[in-house]
Amino acid sequence: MTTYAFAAALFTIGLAGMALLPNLLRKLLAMNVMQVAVIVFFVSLAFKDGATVPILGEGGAPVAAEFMNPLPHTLMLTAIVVSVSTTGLALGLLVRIRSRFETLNERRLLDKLR
Amino acid sequence: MGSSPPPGREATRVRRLLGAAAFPALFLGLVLGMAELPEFGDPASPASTHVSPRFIEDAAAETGAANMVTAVLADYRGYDTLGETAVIFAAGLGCLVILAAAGGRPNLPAAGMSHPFGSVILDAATRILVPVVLLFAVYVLIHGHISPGGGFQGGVLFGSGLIMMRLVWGPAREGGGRHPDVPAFGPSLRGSLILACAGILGYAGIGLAAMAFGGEFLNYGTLPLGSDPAHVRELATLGIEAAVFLTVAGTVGVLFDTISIGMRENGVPIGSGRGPGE
Repeated sequence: MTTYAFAAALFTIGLAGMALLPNLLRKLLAMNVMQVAVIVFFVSLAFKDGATVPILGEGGAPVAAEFMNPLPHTLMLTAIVVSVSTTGLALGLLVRIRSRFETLNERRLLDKLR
Repeated sequence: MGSSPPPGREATRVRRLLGAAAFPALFLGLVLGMAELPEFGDPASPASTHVSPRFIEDAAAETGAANMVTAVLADYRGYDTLGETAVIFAAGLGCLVILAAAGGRPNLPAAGMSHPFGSVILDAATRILVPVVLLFAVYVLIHGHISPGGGFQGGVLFGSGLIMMRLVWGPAREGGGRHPDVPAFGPSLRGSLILACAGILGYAGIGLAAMAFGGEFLNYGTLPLGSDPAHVRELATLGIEAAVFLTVAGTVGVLFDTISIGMRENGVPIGSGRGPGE
């Protein structure tokens, strides 16, 4: 339960950062915090009491109760790399915004767009 | 300063306070909703009982991979992973279009920092570190079947090695007979792009090859790589992981190169010297 609450706290911090911080770069970092919250949540769903990592060692046929659920790990593995790529793309957009408007401050940007 | 703020600012402040107050409420709502979830670590939770026992019990026999995450990633959910790889490739391509290829320049400029750091300690440390990082990336790729690892992790490691070289050594060799715009170390932007393309095409190509030999798309069992189906799937999975590795490593290179080029070409100072509130 504490793990779920930790994920919820991270998610709230990230969302609050995206909504409240004025600088677009900080908004992007806050979005990364939000993505980490989702990853923590999924990986904690995969946890099983008395189970080990989903890699087969020596021994006989695997029993489902002895290994953690590999599916959330798989999904989050791809999610991490996708979040790296989206961050890179967003940084590219920020460079263009910065060169066109000479600021990354949300309020000044809105003033210039008006 | 000193005088009362204009009325517009006051209204904005009230709105911001109201907005900030919404987030503790959101947190409470999330925690209350999570109280309905199964207990942490419960082996009988829905997530662990539906399809997961099938993966755990049959993955090693069916796909030859001791690492079940690799088996699910590259075999059972290969179609999904193809999509994820395409997303990563598209992000690299998008960054290229936004930054480096703007204005239809036919020749892509050289990437990297505008000049090497010129620090002996940094240079010597990077000389030792980079080969280890690159070799470890390949190890992580190849051992993805039997230990934690695989194409995504290895690819990111390889890409970080490339970035380290670019950061410390800069884009071009002084003299040395090569074209000054050719990066002295690691693949050029064009090379990174070709790596990424080769990866995504290789992934789809393995899927199409499976079709050509009578199976479904990305159902590797029919490939003529041997008689033991689990071994065939193991080899095909390694090919898939290598393709993912190429795409991820190439895309990381493309992202770094395009952003560094974009900052230079667009006149964005690196470290503007202004405070974070700017």
